[in-house]
Amino acid sequence: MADETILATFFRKLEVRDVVTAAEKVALIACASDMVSVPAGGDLVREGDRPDTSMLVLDGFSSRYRDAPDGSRQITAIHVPGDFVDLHSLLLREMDHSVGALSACSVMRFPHARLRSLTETHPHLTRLLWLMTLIDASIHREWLSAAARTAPEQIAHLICELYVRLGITGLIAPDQSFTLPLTQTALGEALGLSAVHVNRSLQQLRSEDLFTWQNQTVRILDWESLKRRASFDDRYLHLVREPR
Amino acid sequence: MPRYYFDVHDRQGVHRDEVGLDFPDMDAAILEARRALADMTRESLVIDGATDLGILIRDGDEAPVNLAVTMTTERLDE
Repeated sequence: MADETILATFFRKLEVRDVVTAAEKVALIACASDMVSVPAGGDLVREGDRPDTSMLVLDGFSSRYRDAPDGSRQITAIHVPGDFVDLHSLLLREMDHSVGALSACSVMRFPHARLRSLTETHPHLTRLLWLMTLIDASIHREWLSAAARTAPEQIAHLICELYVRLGITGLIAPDQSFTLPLTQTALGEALGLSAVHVNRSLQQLRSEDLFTWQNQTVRILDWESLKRRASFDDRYLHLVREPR
Repeated sequence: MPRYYFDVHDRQGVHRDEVGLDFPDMDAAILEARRALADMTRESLVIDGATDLGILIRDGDEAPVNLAVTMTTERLDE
């Protein structure tokens, strides 16, 4: 049912890292079943679920999170449009975390049975899907290393990361701006900081003229200085195109 | 939920909060301010070895509440 253009953002992510053949694209598209919409604040999948489909977000931002018994939330990853957010459930079976929509999301569903067959007929494509989950894990490692950074550095680092990840799929406007539907509370949940500290740190960064952030739009003003401020090195995003 | 504004006072001056955050009541806002002070104290102690931080919580109805943390490092000569 899906044509190639609908998965274009996802294929772009793969093509930054390797060559994807036309036959591989057709094979993955054939695995898609249907599209669903999830409103902002809704969940794509919940901790404890045993889904029989994996979800690829065509449009919208989402987060991987866990809620603690005291009601606090830890966001462990932010996903951008085109991310295959729920490839994990194919093999993990029972979800150990939830994936929620930060903004309204259009989601393509891939039945596990079809994906499992795909792994038996398309070894290279399977490795590319595996690579995507490895990159998710690499991003988790980078976030864990954030303990050594100050709050403004952590925020600057996340902005750098999202700018690069969105740039891969052409989601950065010519004026170097991008949409970021993230509240200060959610930003605090992602960085393990209180919302007040996030607010204060954003004021600090604003005074440094590295970027602006208004009405869910971030605009980069000075990329080189922002990278330095964040000690950002994109190696962990594995942006090299080579045989996998 | 009412909106509370958290003005942060630190060594660089007063940073007035123009955005604010929603909480069910002032007690919840105070808990949030304490958590923020703990975060910020940790960070400023690492950078400066000392801290002098405060948060003034404002809203439209209730009287403002001020929270403050002072911590110093002194070498005591005998």
